[in-house]
Amino acid sequence: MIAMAQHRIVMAEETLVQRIEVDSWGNRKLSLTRRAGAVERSLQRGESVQWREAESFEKAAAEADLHGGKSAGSRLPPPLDPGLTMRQQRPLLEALASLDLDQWTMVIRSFRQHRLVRGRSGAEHNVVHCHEGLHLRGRILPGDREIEVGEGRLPGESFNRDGLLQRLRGVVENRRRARPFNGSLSLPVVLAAGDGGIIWHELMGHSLEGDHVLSGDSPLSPDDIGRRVMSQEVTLSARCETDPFLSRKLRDDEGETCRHHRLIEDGVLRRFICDGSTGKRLGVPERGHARQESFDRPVLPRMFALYLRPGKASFEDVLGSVRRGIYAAEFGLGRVLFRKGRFAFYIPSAFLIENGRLGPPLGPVMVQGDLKTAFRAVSMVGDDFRLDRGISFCHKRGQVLHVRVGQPTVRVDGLTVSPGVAE
Amino acid sequence: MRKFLDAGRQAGFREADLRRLRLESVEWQGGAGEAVTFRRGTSHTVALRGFRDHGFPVGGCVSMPTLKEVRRVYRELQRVGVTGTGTGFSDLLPDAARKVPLSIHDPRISEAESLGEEMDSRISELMIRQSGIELAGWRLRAEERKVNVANTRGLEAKYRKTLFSLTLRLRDGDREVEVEEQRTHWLQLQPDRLLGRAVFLLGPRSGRNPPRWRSVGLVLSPFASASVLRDFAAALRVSGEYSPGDIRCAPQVQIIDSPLVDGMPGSVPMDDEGVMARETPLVEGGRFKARVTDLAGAAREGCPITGNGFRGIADPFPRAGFTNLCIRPSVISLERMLKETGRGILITRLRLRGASGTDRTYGAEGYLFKGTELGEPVRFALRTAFLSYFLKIDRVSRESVPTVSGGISVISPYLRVEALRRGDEWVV
Repeated sequence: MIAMAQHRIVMAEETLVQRIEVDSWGNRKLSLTRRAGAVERSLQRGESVQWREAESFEKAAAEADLHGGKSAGSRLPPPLDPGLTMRQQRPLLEALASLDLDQWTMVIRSFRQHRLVRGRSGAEHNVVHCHEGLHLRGRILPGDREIEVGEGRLPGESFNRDGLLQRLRGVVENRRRARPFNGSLSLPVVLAAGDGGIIWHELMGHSLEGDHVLSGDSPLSPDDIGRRVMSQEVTLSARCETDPFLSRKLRDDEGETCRHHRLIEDGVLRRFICDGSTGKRLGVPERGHARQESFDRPVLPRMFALYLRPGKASFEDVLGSVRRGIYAAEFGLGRVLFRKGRFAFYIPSAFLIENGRLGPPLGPVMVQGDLKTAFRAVSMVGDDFRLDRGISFCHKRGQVLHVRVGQPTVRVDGLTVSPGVAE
Repeated sequence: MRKFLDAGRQAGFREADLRRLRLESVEWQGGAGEAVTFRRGTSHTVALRGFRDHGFPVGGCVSMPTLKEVRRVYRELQRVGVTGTGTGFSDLLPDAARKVPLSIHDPRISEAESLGEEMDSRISELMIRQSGIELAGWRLRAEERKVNVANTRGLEAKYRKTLFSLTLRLRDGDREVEVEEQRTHWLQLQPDRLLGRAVFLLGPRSGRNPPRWRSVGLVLSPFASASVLRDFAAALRVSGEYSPGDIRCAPQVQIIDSPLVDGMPGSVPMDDEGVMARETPLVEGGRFKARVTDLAGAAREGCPITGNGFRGIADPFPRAGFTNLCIRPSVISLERMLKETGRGILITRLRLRGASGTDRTYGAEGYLFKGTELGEPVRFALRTAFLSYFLKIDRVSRESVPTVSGGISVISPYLRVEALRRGDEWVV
């Protein structure tokens, strides 16, 4: 019986997504999605997976022979009240309308998910993920690329509306007053604290994922464990005790916890990001990072979070060390071409740094470079660690998941900066 | 279905519509030296909308709903209050369906569980003949969709569709290519054809810059043409930045959205709003004529309804999407096109490198040609824009190849365009 349990993972799930969208044409869109289902994975001789939709969480749990789901409803906070939420955001809509944008949209998305997982050990665990996000999007002129700022929160908390508007105004100003430059330049780039951590998520985090290491796509291999792969200033961790979105005893979709969180320590590779099966195939004990978007999608080794630990330099020291460079204030989508060892990142709002001071706005820029060079090009790490604003999402093989990142102000040398955008 | 719709009316909505989707799928995934992963799943969702006299409809999606659950969702949706002051578009909901003769269901789906093994051995056998090329992974998926669409204006319609998808990922050193083929019938899925396509796209290991001619005739393969069409497809959807009539195109170019091609992956008898499928000419006679649209887009922009409102599995609202995007072939053969061009470059593959506004920059790979003789491999940067690309297509071949590009089913012949050299890149 115990031997059987080691090769079977069972999960029941219920997800509730509410989405409220208001746009400059006066439309209000409300949608509500509730899905429930169960999935059973048999891991003997390859992997055999069977999933099915169910009427409710209780039925999904019963069909999967899970017993800990009787109090399922009480585990999730109550859904948003759409009417109340709209009334609360009225000042924000009025402020948006006054920004003189060609068009704008405000989106509030509430996500509540409860999972009951029986993992390899046979024990059942309840896993709850909740997230609420507020996004403001707009175009300054018709045909422009959309600008976007957003913020995430836990249910019951409130959004920092003033902060959001101030950021949106900042991006609009940056775009309107931009003094774009021509051609591509190799310049030091200073990444803003907090959201800038998404760059390390893309560059190093995905390189550490077990499936990419196994397929040979990652620039890292198991032989690199114990070797220096990044600048000595860098320590990357998969957990942060102060992050309100992730509990300390966070379990993955196989019911496992991640025991050791330091992935890169003082630039030295310590461990990879693995789920049970990739860890086994890589011959490493790591697990606790199995994630799937929903019960009908495959499990992949993925990050919950990646934080770059603070260093010793102050923000002024980091900025002051740059004679001529770029300050990246907001962060957009990035693309990593593993097999070519290259990456490109969209920075929607950047400033020039001149003689250690913030200079004129540059509008949107692209930052590109070579992966291995970028790993070793971190020359300064600030002491002003900040968590991201709670709206970092990771796309991998068609599955989109909320992730957490955080970092202090960081200086990276030798990246190629060019104006404009890439898709 | 009728009870679900009545629940919408009882909740106070003027009209209601829904789409029920029952999906059964089996999927195999394998790779070099890896055990095959098998996945089987059953999904049953109902996506519904409630329309008021004014404003945008509200929408919901639920798993295997009971009448009680549907009532609860409609009550919840009713709580948001007014959803805008604009005129609603419930009047656009269709009130009747008709039978459409279309072959998109393969009874062999009932044997789906045995297909993976068959495909695994066919791929293994085919790979023996490919020296130096490694199979990095493959995926086979077979699914059957049973779709019901209904609304309170009287429409009740349903259809069944099967879809078989095969994806191959091949590697040659540090070069990798992923190709996908989708068909509604099992026997139309040809792994040898797909493998041949992957090898063609992988192309040679190296390529030099083409000679520094001032201008050159480029012949785009159907796969290269599909890449460009996919990138410019947003402009052919409702809310795109150009309006019909605004844009001039070469008279040779005719682009249609065609849901009525037997066996093609995008073919459907109706969209998810119950609008019956029809061919929509998007570019015709040198003019940009129409854009594909869902009902909401048609109401907002005041453009004709095309029957292109499609939902994802759990999406409450439909969005404008393509069925099969086709460039209509001409009567000229590829051979004649190459002969007429004299010397030029046959582009086998285009990969998007960057975008700015409507400008797109691609990394192009292909072969020099002289007459019908292919020469040495070349690689270069190609820049084009929506407005100039469709204007500069001066020849269209008769050989049409269906392909899937970025999730869009595209059927394209070979196209010829004239490019000018600007510094290190070629511009169309």
